[in-house]
Amino acid sequence: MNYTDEELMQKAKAGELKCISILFDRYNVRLYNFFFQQTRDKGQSEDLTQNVFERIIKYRENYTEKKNFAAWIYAIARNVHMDIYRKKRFDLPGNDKVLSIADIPDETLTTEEIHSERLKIAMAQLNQDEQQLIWMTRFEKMKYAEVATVFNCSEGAIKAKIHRTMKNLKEVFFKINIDE
Amino acid sequence: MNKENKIIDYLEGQMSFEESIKFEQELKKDPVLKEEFATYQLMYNEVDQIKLEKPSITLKSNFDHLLETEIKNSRKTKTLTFRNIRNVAAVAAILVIGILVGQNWTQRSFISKIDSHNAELVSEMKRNMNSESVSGRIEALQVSHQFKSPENEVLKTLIKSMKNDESPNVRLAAVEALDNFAKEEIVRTAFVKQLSQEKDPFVLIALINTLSEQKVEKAIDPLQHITNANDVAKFIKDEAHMGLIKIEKI
Repeated sequence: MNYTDEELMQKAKAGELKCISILFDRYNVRLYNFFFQQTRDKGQSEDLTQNVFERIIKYRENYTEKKNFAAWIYAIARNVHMDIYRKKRFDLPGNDKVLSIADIPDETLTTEEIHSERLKIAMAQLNQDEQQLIWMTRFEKMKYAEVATVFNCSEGAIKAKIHRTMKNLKEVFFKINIDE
Repeated sequence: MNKENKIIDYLEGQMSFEESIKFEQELKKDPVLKEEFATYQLMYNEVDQIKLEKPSITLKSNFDHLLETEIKNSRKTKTLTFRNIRNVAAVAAILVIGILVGQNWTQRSFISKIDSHNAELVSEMKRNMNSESVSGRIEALQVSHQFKSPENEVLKTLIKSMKNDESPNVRLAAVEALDNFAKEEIVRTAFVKQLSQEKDPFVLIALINTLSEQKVEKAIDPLQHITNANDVAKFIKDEAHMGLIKIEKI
């Protein structure tokens, strides 16, 4: 039987810990990439992903059936990221690991690859919240209301943030193309 | 709603079926909207094509190990029988009674001993704060960790160091020592004031972290000032921004 994320988490809470293994299979790559988009560091992204699952196991009793699982796990992921960011102080997320436009070797890359590199540069110029918002709405296809739960604010506030974020991204993305 | 916002909501898939139909009709009629839509669509296509990276197999094996350990631990917890619990409770009850009786006898002499010990520590700390070496002053500040409850003299000494010491390392050590007493109003006020005066990035970030952790609302204005300042590094602005999120829950 194909259980929903919420059902699996309820079962885990009731003592069937093996259910968390299925949740791991469903979410580990997504979470890893959520962190990788922000840190550009494979090892650190794995550590952060592992940390999220440690917290899910540890705090499984706190999960309530009313909570959307994706929103819950991303709220944990945001906290994990914030904690690491705070502890390390100056080992900042890896925007510096993204190439600058001058570093892109145009001769060896295809047009699609160049566009992709440009997008990485544009994304790297967004702040952490903005990068996370894009991840949640584009890759997780979360609704504004769900994202609002993760960010602990109103749906209206999230809507306004998304509008602002996408306008910023567009401005930077096309500026890079024009400046080329 | 402005046109760009509508385009974004449409491409984000956040419109209802009726709203989408209406928007598509507008799109057909309005060439300016159509052109703007095309640019957004191009960018959204790029975003959607970002390739996902694969984590290494270590992640899975580490997780499996973590889960197995938790499963074993939870089995062990379950093997505590009612009889075990009853025995443990009986022993605990005897211990509690013993502690209460003993505590009454020793409390008075214990309090006076603590008072004199604390006074010695405070004077030692103040004396060493005059040390010329940075490590000597940091060592002096660390004496404050021995106080479980805040002593007025200790707080004043720490605040003075945070404000006036010429070494950023000593100021940072003072902030970290004061963090143990961050519930005290005098400490919070000093942190907020220092936020506007501190120039060293390490100390500044320590202050931001402490104030946001404690959700000190008085810090909102200076934090907003940092996020808008032109002469502040981006990573400090980011930290201030995250601090505001924690305090305001925006």
